[in-house]
Amino acid sequence: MASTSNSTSSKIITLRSSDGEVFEVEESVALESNLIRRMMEDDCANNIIPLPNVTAPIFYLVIEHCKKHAEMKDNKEKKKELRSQGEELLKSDPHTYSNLMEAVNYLDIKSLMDLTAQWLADFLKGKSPRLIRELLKIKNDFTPEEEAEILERNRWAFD
Amino acid sequence: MEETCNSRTLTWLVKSCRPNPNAETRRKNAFASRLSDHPPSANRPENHLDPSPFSSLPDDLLLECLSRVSHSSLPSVALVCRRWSRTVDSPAFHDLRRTLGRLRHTLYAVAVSDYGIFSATHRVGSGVPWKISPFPGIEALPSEIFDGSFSHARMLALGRHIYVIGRAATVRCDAWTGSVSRRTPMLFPRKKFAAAAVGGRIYVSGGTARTAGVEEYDPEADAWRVVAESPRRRYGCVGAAADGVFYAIGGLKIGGRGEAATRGGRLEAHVYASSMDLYDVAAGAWMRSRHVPGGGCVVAACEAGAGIYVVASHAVELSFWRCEGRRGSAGFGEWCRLKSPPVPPQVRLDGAVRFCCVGIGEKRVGLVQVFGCIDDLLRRSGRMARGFREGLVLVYDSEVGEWSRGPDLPEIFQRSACVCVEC
Repeated sequence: MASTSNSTSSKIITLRSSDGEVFEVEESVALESNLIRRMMEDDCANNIIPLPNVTAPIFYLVIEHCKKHAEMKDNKEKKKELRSQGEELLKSDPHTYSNLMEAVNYLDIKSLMDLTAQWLADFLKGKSPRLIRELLKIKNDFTPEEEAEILERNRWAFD
Repeated sequence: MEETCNSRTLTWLVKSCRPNPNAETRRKNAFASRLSDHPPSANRPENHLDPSPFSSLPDDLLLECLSRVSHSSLPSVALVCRRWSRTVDSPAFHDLRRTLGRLRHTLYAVAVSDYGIFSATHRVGSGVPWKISPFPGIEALPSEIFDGSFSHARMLALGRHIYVIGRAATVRCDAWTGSVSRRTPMLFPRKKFAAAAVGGRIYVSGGTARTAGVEEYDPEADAWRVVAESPRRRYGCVGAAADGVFYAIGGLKIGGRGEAATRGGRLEAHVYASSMDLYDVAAGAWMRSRHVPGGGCVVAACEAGAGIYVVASHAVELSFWRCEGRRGSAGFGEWCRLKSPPVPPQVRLDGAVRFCCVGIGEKRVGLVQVFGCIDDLLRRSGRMARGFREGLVLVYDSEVGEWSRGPDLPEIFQRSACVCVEC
């Protein structure tokens, strides 16, 4: 069904997400993904490349950030902006974040991996363990005794 | 930001060929609003289905994220949940942080004074002055264990854990998370003894007249045991390790039979001060002892890479040596004289000035003056040179063969012990 697009440009790659949505992506953007690069080297270029592990909304996010990342290479403002987006995403929707992370890993995009991993690292800065658990909805699985002991040992860290 | 996030940019970027355009728009808007508007009511249904989005994140991805946190976040991160704590504890975490350039060689100096226990840290090569802080978490330990327990203590690092081994108490501090815990003390109380880490275990020797035993500490079991009898009972010695060999270096003779101590005592004392005993940990056997060329008295020593670095004091000068510690190589045990540390040649290290030698990674050696005042020494010999007083910090780079000076150790750290940790 995507065959019509081939006439416009040779640099368009067709991909299909796990929920059946089909995307056309510029080759330069798609090749950021080592997975797609490998698939193309293995001669899948003329067909639709299936991405069984990535849903459409997440794939949108991936593409968008690939693009932004390419843009920001020598733009400090953009870099800052992109780094700050992690904070917002993690606060509002940690689920999307973890899905995005997995997709980036699956697609094997080095630059985005660095970026998204850094998001979480930045997000954790200056936050107490309790706040981190609350915001990221992580269950505290230490026993009360363990926690008391740990807190005792690390009291200075949370003053 | 709204501009870069709106759906027009996206359409330009990605064209969807999905047959149902309505479904597509809905989806796009949903996700675009997620990014740009992030409505405060995050009550999307999926949040209720799975309360923890991070439980599904594979271990290696969690590792990627957590290994990028700043050093100051580590204490918190390790306390979030078991899984995070395990991640921080894993060797892979350490490796990845190193690969990412998140680890820096940091010198720790710990001093026990009448005012309490202090630690100072300095990132080697940063030029930033030492940062002083009370020893982290020390108030969590019973105060009585500090009564005299840590004078002339030895410090060493196993990975990110710093062990302060005192006469009658051992304390472990996690340089990353700052957590401090009490560990089993040595079987025999020792002062000014040799200590070094070989293969993840700690070996100590000397520093007591009561035994010639070499003790081994297993951090997993938190237990000490005697593994060998040392050929020489040394006091005031220093330890080092390279390629599976534990070195007990320098010091004076202590204890022993009365007759042996008097007969030719001076000569023997000199033998102790300039020699080192080599214990092969895996074989459980002693190797041939080695002597510092030129017969200097060893005043400080440490390992870096596969070399044992030794500072020796002679009648007229200080000398600095490297002994090849890689076994199997032709040069094993061979000495190579290196450029002497830039301290006035009149300085004789006889107890009035003390240095602590610390290996900094594979290539560098730090020499930290932990006691005495060099200017005072010089004044005694009629010189009024200035500039070298207390807390001198020198770093030798074996790649260029040069010494450089770091920020001085603060005065309060007289008599401190030093160690280098990657953090």
